[in-house]
Amino acid sequence: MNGRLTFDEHAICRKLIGELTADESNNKIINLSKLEFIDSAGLGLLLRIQDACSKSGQTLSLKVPSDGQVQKMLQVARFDQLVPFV
Amino acid sequence: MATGPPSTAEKAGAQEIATQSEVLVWHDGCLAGLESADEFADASIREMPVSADECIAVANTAAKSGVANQLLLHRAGTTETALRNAARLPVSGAVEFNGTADLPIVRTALTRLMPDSVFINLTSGTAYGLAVAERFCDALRHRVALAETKLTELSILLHEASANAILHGNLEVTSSPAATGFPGLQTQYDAIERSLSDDDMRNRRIDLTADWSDEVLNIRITNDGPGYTAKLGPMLKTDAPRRGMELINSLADRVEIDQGGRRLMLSIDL
Repeated sequence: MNGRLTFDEHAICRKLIGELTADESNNKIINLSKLEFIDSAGLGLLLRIQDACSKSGQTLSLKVPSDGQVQKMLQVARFDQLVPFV
Repeated sequence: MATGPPSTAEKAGAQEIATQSEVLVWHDGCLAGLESADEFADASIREMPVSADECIAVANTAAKSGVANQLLLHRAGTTETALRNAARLPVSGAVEFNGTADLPIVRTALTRLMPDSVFINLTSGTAYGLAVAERFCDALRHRVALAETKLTELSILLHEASANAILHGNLEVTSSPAATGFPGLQTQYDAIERSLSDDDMRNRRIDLTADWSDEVLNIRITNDGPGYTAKLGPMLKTDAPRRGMELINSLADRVEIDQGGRRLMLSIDL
């Protein structure tokens, strides 16, 4: 995923939902390592996706960058406690 | 490239110049509709440089010391590039200008130009979809000595505060606990689109203002909405506004909300 996963980037959010809905694998991985910026709405979207996955008996994990705003945001929000990182 | 914040000696030396200089008003191509620029009678008007290099050149030739006499006017729907370039200009404030109806806003902005301070004031329609908080952090990076990790935290902090101000303050979009799943998200997007197509709501302003000393950075984020307060009680996993406020509280050293939720004041120790 490139770009920004934020409250005002509806197209990117919709695209992510679309891609995951089309992905039939049971263990879904979202790659955030090239994402430029994520906010609390972006985190909320990831949690909505996780809820949808578990309702279908699927799992979600995240590939995360090692630095930058996205890494800092995930760290401050203690997001690894909510969605596993790979 | 402007080489960081001015030294104390430079500041002291040029304080006299600051009080006597006339005001310089840059504009982002937004004066075309005016019959005359007389409303800015005491100011010199210049069109904002187009490229980053030109903006850097302006910054490097400007007196580097507490001279707070430059204001930038942005046009409606200004671009990401214009904001990036503007971050380098030695202006103490930037305000969106859409014609004579906005003159009172500009007059107020002219009185707010201060040393060691910078502000940006845009309509919600223009701010929506622009990374305003990040560009404001760019402006701070050129003015205040801040470590890179602090700047990253600041961009998170300001983005969350701005998102709340625009979405929940100006556009009056609330997040309902019943709006779960992807249909719930669509409901929220529809509500946002409705608010953005309402002239009054779209024209409500968001203002980010920062002032600083060697010890502390103070930031005020103001919106024109009817007032919004973060909800109390257990937080839902998908409750973005509450998560946003939690982030703000954990990243800022002091947080205060006043004006019925229209103003958020943050303080960060340096």
